[in-house]
Amino acid sequence: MPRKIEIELDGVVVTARLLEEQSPKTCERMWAALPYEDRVTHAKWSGQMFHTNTPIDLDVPGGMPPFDIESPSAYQSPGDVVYYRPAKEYAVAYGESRFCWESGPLFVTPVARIEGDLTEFAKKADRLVWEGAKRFVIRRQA
Amino acid sequence: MTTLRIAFQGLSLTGQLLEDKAPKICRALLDSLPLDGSVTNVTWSGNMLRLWVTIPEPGEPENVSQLQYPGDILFVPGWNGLRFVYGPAQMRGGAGAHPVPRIGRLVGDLTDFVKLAKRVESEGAKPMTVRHG
Repeated sequence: MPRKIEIELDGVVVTARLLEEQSPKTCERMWAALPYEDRVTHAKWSGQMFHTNTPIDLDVPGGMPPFDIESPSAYQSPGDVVYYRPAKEYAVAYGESRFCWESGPLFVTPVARIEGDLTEFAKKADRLVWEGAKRFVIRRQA
Repeated sequence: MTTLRIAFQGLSLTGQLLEDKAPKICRALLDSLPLDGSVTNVTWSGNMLRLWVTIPEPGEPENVSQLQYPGDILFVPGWNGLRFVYGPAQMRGGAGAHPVPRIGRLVGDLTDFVKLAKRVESEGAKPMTVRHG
C-alpha cells in the first residue's frame, strides 16, 4: 500500500500519494518528519504554484545542485508536490507552472501527487496572490 | 518630462514617463488617469508588482526590452495594467521570458518602496493610486 498524506490549505484538504518508488530517500525522510505546518505564499517566479517558508531539513544527502538531487525534475504538472533541497522548502503546483528562481528553472525532487479533484484546492491556492500567506499542513493520512 | 504621482502604502512616489520612447502608450496612460486599483505580486516574473487597472490598448508595443530593472514602470500589451519593478525581475510567462514595453521610471530613493513592495507577497493585495504629478 502506498503511503498517503493529507494536504490542507486554508481549510481545504486533499489527499496525495507519496512517490516512494520515484524518490525513496526524500519520501522516507518526509514521512518521518510529518506532520509539518507552515504559512505558505504564492510563487513569484514559478506560475501557478505556492511554496513553504519555514525551512524543513529532510537531511537528504547530496552535493551541489543540479547534481545529486534525488529524482531531479524540471517540469511539474498540476497536483505535483516537490521538495527543493537547497532551500529546504516544499512547493505545490496547482496549474500551469514550473519551479523557477531568478536564475531560471531549477531541478526539484517530486515527493507526492495529489489525487482526485483539484478544483477547490486550486481556487484556494489562486487566492494566495490576493490574500497573502495562509495556513498549510501536511500530515499522514489516518 | 511628464511625471506621475503614485500613492502606495503611505508613500508618495514620483514616476517619470518615457514619452519620447513610448509616446502612444504614455498617451493612453495619461488619458486614463487617475487610476485606482489593487496591486499584487506577479506570479512568473519575480520582484514586480502588478496594478490591476484597465488602460485602453494602444495597439503596438513601444520601447520593448528583455531586461527589467528596479524602478521600471511597464505596460504589457494583452495583459494590461501596469507593472512596477522593485528587485530582481524578468518579464516571464508560461512560455518563458518575453520583451515588454518600458514606459517610465520611478525616481528618487526607492528604499521604503522596496520594503513595502516585498510585503505584498505575504500580506496580499494593497491599494495603489496613480495620478498626474
